[in-house]
Amino acid sequence: MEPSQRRHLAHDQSSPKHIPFDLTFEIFTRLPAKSIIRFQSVSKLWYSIIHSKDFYNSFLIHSKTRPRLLFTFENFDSRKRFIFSAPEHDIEQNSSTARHDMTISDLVYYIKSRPVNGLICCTRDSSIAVCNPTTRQILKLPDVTLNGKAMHARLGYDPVQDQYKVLCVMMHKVYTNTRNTYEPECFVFTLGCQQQEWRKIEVIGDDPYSGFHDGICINGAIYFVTKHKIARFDVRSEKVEFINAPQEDMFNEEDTKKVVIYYSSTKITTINTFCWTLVNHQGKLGGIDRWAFRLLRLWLQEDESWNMMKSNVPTEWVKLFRAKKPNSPGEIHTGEFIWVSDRLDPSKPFNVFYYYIIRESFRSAQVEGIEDRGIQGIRKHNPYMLCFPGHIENIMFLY
Amino acid sequence: MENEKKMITLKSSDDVTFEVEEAVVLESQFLSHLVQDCPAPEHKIKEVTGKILSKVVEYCEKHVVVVVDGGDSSSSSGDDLKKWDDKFIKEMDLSTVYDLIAAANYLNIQALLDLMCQRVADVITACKDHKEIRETLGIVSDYTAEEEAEVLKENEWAFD
Repeated sequence: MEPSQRRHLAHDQSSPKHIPFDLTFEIFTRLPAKSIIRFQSVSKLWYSIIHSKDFYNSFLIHSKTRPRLLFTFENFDSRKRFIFSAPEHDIEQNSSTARHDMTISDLVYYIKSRPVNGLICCTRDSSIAVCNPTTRQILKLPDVTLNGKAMHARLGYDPVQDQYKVLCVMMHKVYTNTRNTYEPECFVFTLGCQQQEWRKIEVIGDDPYSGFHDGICINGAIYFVTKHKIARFDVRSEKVEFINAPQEDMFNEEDTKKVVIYYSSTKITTINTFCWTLVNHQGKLGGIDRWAFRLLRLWLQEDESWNMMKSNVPTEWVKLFRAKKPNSPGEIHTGEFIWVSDRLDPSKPFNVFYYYIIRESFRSAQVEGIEDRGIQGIRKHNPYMLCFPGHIENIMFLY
Repeated sequence: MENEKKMITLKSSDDVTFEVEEAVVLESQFLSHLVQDCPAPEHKIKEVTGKILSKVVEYCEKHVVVVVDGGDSSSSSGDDLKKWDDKFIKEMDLSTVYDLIAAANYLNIQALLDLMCQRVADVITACKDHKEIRETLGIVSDYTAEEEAEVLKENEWAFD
């Protein structure tokens, strides 16, 4: 091919049908992810476009405009983990249909934290893996040595260097005369890096990671909740710092009563972080109370302090909430918080609730297609199900 | 006269001329800069043929926001416009679509570019496999039989 000649998607130059090469991204980013995977076999040129970094970046930008709900549950009989996803409901929409994205069967991994740019971190014993349900790939990272330690792993993304890293925190319980403490060790693994190994990083603070819980990646940092504080792991610099959790005395007595009624102790000064879910509220770190069904509270971290938005739950919803005990894993593109039960009843469409804190308005919607998939034994157990909003399709190939 | 519409002449690469209202020209980012910077009555567009330019003009005339006498602005209603767009693309063969994509990109008409790219994406999505795509788009595969089998095997699941 002469250098001056433009390359075309259609290689047959005698054919009048040419997609201008520079515009193939414009066209390809509009294709469903599954079609893209399928059409790698069209030609070597198509394969190389689909596997290029520029392309998956453009696809990701497009994907962010069509966020999905990700559902995952394990089926004990078949020892398989299932991953489904469905479009997030628009304001006027009360039903959407889920599709089956992936089944993990060789080794059943647990998923404990939400997807980061469509990639999910999974763990099982001493094994850690990163999974991309859109390309159905699972990348097993080198095993870590547990020696009886508890292990937590979370995935993070640094947008500046365009790098994915896994943070692994291992805790060794130490018994002393006065108290039991945990001695943490931290390791980092960089995806796509030449050195396929865990690098040990420095641990700061005294007994800092006990009660490791939750985990969310926002703007290049992984946040997770410890017993009394919120930890922030900067994905780029690989440094951990601690943020004070909000204090209960920040708000009035009347509101405290509504919340504290659900706690075992009435004397609480620091928010009980176990009752929290970390959320990404328009790019800011936030937390929502999980159990205070009469009063919903959203905490937002702004300029090193915490602001709170609160809202009374309408009476007709309080009963339903207490019965279903839904959790909120965060907000969808409409700004509403999604509330879901953690049990899947496989005989019915899955119910989700949306709450718009500013207008104090509730609505319910359904997700069809997870039930009646003929998954063997699923009806017996009502499996434990996790749901994450804001899942985006990423066609990054892990290997 | 105040209400008199300003007309502009566009000339294609093969010297076909189109006389259009200024408002129509403003649908294109490229042309609106051009008419602002050099207020000549005629503009030659060397990159676009008469056949394609007539399609571009047809699209822009339909999509232009019409300013009626009262000063209110109105355009064809969303549903009507969508129906018109559907008909507009259905009548077109793929090679015209490609030329229109190139023209819309050059003239910077985002809505037309979106419409045309979506059209090609829909054609590709409708193909059940790689063979049908090759046939539809006139692509000759450069895979050897072994290479093709390997790529197919890796992505077998995407074909169900």
